Amino acid sequence: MEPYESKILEMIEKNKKIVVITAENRVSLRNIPEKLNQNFIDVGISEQNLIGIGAGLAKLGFLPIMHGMSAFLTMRAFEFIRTDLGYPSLPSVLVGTFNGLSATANGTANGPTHQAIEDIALMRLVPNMTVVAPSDMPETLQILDNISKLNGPLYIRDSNCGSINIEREPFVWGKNECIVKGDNVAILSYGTILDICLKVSKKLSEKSFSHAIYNMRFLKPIDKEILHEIFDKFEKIFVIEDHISMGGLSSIIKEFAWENHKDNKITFINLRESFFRPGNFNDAIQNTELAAGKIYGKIINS
Amino acid sequence: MNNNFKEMDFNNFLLSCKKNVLKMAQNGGCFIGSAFSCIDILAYLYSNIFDIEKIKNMEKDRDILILSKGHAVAGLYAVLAQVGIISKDRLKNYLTVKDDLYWHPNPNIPGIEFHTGSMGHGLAIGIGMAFASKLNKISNRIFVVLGDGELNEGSIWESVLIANAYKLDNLTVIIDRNFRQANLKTEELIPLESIQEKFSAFGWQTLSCNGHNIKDIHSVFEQNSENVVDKPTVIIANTTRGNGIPLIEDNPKYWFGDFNEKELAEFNKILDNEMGESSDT
Repeated sequence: MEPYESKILEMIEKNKKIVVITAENRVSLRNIPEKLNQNFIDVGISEQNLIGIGAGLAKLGFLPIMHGMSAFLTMRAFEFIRTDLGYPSLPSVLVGTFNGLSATANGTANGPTHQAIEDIALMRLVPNMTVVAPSDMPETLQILDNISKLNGPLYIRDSNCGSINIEREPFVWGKNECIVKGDNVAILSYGTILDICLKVSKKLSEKSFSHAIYNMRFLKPIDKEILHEIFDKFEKIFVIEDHISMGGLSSIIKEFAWENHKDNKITFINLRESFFRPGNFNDAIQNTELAAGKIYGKIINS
Repeated sequence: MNNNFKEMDFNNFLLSCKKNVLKMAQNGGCFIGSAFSCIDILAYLYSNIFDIEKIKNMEKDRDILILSKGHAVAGLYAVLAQVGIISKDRLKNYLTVKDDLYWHPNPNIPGIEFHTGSMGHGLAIGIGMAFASKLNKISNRIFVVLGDGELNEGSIWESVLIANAYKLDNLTVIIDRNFRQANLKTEELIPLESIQEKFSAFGWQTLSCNGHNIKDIHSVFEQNSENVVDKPTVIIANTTRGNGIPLIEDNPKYWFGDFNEKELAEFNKILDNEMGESSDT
């Protein structure tokens, strides 16, 4: 039994209104369908119905947790998400897997059909949607602990990584966190890439280059309090994400800077506007701007 | 069976509903063709099958209707007003921003369970609600009204597969089979026949009726409730778009209609002549 599966079982034990639904995406659910009985529904490879059925259940008071691969979940079913969950603000959870530069099960080998590199942009567009990108499994589980409080849909960009193994502040819903304290530059990231940033951090520390790293997991609504702190404290800010340059954290930061008349020096490192070349994770990431060595070079030379 | 309406003259009731629709076919108009295509079925469900008090009180075990062909909503508003789920006065707010009575259904209107309008959503929503009833262990029924043109949507066929897979015997789909969609005849654009054979091959119980003949409608719904099978049911209701008004009947021009006072007076007269004087308008 995996931690995610145990968590789901524990939650349903307490709240029988939770229904786990999947569009035949069982990677994170392999051991629990039999245990969930009627609270588990596999709709087959049909993302639109995954959402429509979830919306019907949510409308009658159930809390659906809908699973799919991020690319198909957010794009194939986009209009269903926007119209059937977003407009009525139905409490519901979307768990998208294989997104960005997905290290999980070597997801980067899938190729463009499976790449979800605009999922955050799309989910941010949905009215009433909360968007969160956990960096590891403990964080995903902490997010799940809070879903009974939802008053609208939630998109979890589940990168399904193990654990980034660093001392963290206690999890607070809606709040982002500083995971490496320091001066000079601020590095803002989330999800899979946060682990890459920690590798960069190690190298920077070896050179005694002081820096701070922020886990920007809550992307919508964005935690403005921490952004004010960051913009006030750091002249140089690096925004690093495995998402295209439009609509993700890069856009969030640009919007924040414009709205608050900030003129900090900001560097954006992302997937620009296009698909990345598929391959094994280490190979695929080396071929992008998100390779640890390239990020390190940009920061140390800033 | 709802006792309040058991003895009622259905024809007279339907006439009043249709006259309610005519009131919305002006000053911005409504999809009158679609409304008059399925209004007999809607009027029957609300006058003979549904427990109106349960719907008014949003009781957990109320029957649920999803009008997936949302543009026919003028027909639904008309029926909801006639059975008293909303007041007839409220229809005067139609197409004003002070209320939520517009060209597609909004759940802020009592009796409307979900906002539809985008084709191909309502059946998935209805399936979710059918699952909810199973989980709640309640024996209500979920009815989903689909347009025949709506069967062009791929999401409908996903739903048809899923409802069969889970043997959703509490789900009844009614297809408003008027052989027309927005611009063309269905069989000229994307042929749908045989709908009966398609649903049957997908594992559904298939029934059909003349969607404008009350005896036939009554008989098919009796059959549906008596004949319990461990599968979902589809009722193919053979209908005519704009039924009852010769000018708009099966006329490709009048999927939608926005008429002047004179035209509407004429339509009212036609309905009175065809269906008899209504004592309750």
